[in-house]
Amino acid sequence: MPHTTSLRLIPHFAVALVAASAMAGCVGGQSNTTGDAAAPKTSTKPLRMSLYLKPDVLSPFAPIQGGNTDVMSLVYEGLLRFDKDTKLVPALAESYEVSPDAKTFTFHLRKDAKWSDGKPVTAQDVVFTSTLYVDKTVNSSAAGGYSGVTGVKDFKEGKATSVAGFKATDEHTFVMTTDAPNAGIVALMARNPILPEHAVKDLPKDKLQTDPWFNNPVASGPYKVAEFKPDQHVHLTAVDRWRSKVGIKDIYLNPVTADVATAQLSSGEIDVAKISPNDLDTVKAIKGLRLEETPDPGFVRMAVNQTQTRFQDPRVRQAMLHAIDRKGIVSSALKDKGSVRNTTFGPRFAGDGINEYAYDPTKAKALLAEAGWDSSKPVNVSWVAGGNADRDAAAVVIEQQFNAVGIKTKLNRIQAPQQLESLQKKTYDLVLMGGGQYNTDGYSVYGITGCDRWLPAGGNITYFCDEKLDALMKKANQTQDEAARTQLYKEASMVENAAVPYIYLYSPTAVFAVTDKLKGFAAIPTGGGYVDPASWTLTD
Amino acid sequence: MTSYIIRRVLVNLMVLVLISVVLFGLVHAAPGNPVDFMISPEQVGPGYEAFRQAKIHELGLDKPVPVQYVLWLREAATGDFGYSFADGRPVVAVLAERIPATVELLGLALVVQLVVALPAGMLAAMRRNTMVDYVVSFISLGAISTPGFFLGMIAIYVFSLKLRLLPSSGLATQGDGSPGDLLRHLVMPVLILGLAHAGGLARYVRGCTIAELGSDYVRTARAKGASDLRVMVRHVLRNALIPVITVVMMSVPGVFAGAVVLEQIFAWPGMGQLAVASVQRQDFPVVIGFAGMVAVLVLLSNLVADVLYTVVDPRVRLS
Repeated sequence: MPHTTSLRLIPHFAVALVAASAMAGCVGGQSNTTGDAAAPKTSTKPLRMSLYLKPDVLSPFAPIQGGNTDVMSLVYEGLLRFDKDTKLVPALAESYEVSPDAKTFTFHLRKDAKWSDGKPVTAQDVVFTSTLYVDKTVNSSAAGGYSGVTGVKDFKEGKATSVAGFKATDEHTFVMTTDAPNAGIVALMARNPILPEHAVKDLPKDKLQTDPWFNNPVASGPYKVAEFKPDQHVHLTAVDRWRSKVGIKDIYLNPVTADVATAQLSSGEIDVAKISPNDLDTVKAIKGLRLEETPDPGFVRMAVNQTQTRFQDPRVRQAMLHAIDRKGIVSSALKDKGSVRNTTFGPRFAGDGINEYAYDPTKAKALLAEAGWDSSKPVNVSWVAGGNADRDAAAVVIEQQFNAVGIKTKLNRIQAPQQLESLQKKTYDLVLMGGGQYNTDGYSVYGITGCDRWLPAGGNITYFCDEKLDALMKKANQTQDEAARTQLYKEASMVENAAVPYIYLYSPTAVFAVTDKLKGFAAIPTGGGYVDPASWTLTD
Repeated sequence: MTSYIIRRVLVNLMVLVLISVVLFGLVHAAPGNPVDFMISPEQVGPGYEAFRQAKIHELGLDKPVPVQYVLWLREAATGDFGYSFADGRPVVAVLAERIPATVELLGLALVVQLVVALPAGMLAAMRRNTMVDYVVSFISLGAISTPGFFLGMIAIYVFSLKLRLLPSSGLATQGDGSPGDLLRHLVMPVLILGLAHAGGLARYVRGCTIAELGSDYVRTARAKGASDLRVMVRHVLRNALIPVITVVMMSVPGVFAGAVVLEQIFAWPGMGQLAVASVQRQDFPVVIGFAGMVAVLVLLSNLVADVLYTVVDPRVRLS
């Protein structure tokens, strides 16, 4: 259709003109007045990305919201960050040490780290920000993670004016101490960004969750906010003279629905979008795009209300696993973009030879019979419908296959707040849900399985308790040596896999459609943010 | 006339207060609690309960609903209609930010609707029971019976994905925003919204015009030798407009509702998108603000239609 291309050419023509006039200014070739000749050229073409959720406020103190996290990962930095395999790697801190008793954590800050206003990042900024995370007036949802730090309790109760466990020993060294051995606490440093004391100290503490200052903050990441119009787009621009070369000058993030994102990918209006398995075939047919896949460190599962006697026998929960064709769900609902899960522990900590609970209705029936299952009493499977197509499909399959083995099942579509309420009041039977991040630190599993982590003390929403598992977990968290710790988590995963606290279903693989012109792109699935954006490059 | 308008305004104000009571009750009767929407049930951990309670208190949701209503009325009286739960800004500011995009869409769509429907309806009436009439009727019935969102999706598929003539969605291309770019983004949503509502209006104009064409004054005008065009424009149009004004004014809320759906399809950052997002996260103050604004719009359209009658037709006397 030659007549249609003429219109599309206009913007290209304009770009060519601009490029030509820029060239005219530097006749004689490669002379570069900024003196940065060795580094690769920063792309002047903007990168346009879709956001699956509209960001509202870029405050690290606000409750976690995927749209905010995605934008914040380009603007803020923690002491550490996640790489694309959700391992911890240095960010603001160039290195860190854990004491042999796993109670003292020493972080060495990069000496070249600067805030976007040019002032240096100091260990005092880290103390200041960490104290804000645990401050009662700030009421951050991140506070819980720091509860093991020495002195947090006294600070919260007003018995101390500072937290004894946060110390800046010199300008570039931050030391954190905990009451008990707590090797897993390091992961917090990748979740919670550090903020500049000189800019944040004057903001009202009780408004830190919503203060509009955060929509154009002074931070230490490679990008700063140029324009925050969440209804239309968030425009980020590279920080001048960031500590290393930033490959792309401008990034636009645009909150659109999955359908719109797929259409815009197709018409070339955006360069990067997370896509749902249903759109895979459409997107594959578009030229100039590649698919980037990242396994989700969390997983989709069913919480089983173990305050009810009928669910307390592990054989019942094992039978549920055997009753569901989980491979079938992965291939039909996820179009094979995912894997069956058999333990809460992420792949790094999963023991070798764990029970895979293959689809076997006969075995499921036998296990139920052994456990004396009463098939006359109905089981409600509730889930928040409409948010994820794969979960909706899985629920229907589960209803059918549970009924086939004698678990009389009814589906119950609910809203997110209802889900929270039923979990709190223990009024649910089974709840289908997803999320979590159990690959960075094995101890994160304790938060949802520990005997003393029952809701609301923690995220153990299934009201599961196994003393043997808890003992192993605590031993692992007190072990400073990484190889020995990983080994202990692997042992724990064997125990966990046999006890079945959750009905494990699958880990979806996040699929991003990315223009071929973009190199280096990496993301953590489901609102986990982007990985090392400064290293991305975009060719014209 | 002035006293009539004042009376109508007062009655409308009372209706508005009643509407606000009903809205407030309905919104608060919804299950769940907006604070719970801020916490992902998949991320509950230690400290979340304290956070939850503090937030509920901060937003005033721990007070009885009638007390919350009175507090809201007080804020409404100061003109900011409460504060959004999502970002703490006054509801008026949140809504005002979205008004330009929606007014741009609605205003242009209304113009398209009138420019297409008036001539088409009158032409069909003049050439009644000819091919022209059938074609106009067929197209308008088609427009009435096709939902706007469906047309929108077809248009995106054809013009953006296949022909690559127009952008699929949004207000502007990221990083562009030149007048030409803005115009290209307007074409599809404006035409679809305008044309979808032009169908019904064209049918109406046709009917009214036919009724007027049979009147004595038309015959008299023709007998005096006036041309067809002069008869239509000077005589028939003016008379046929009276019922048409009602239809147009009454269709404004309908077009508004249509825009809510179309804004989703075209990712248009207007009021409709805001309303849907606010309902989803139970941002009560914004939902009530939006619904209240629609109520005002409906009442206002009625009032304007009544007043316009007297302008177009001096025989109508309001008393």
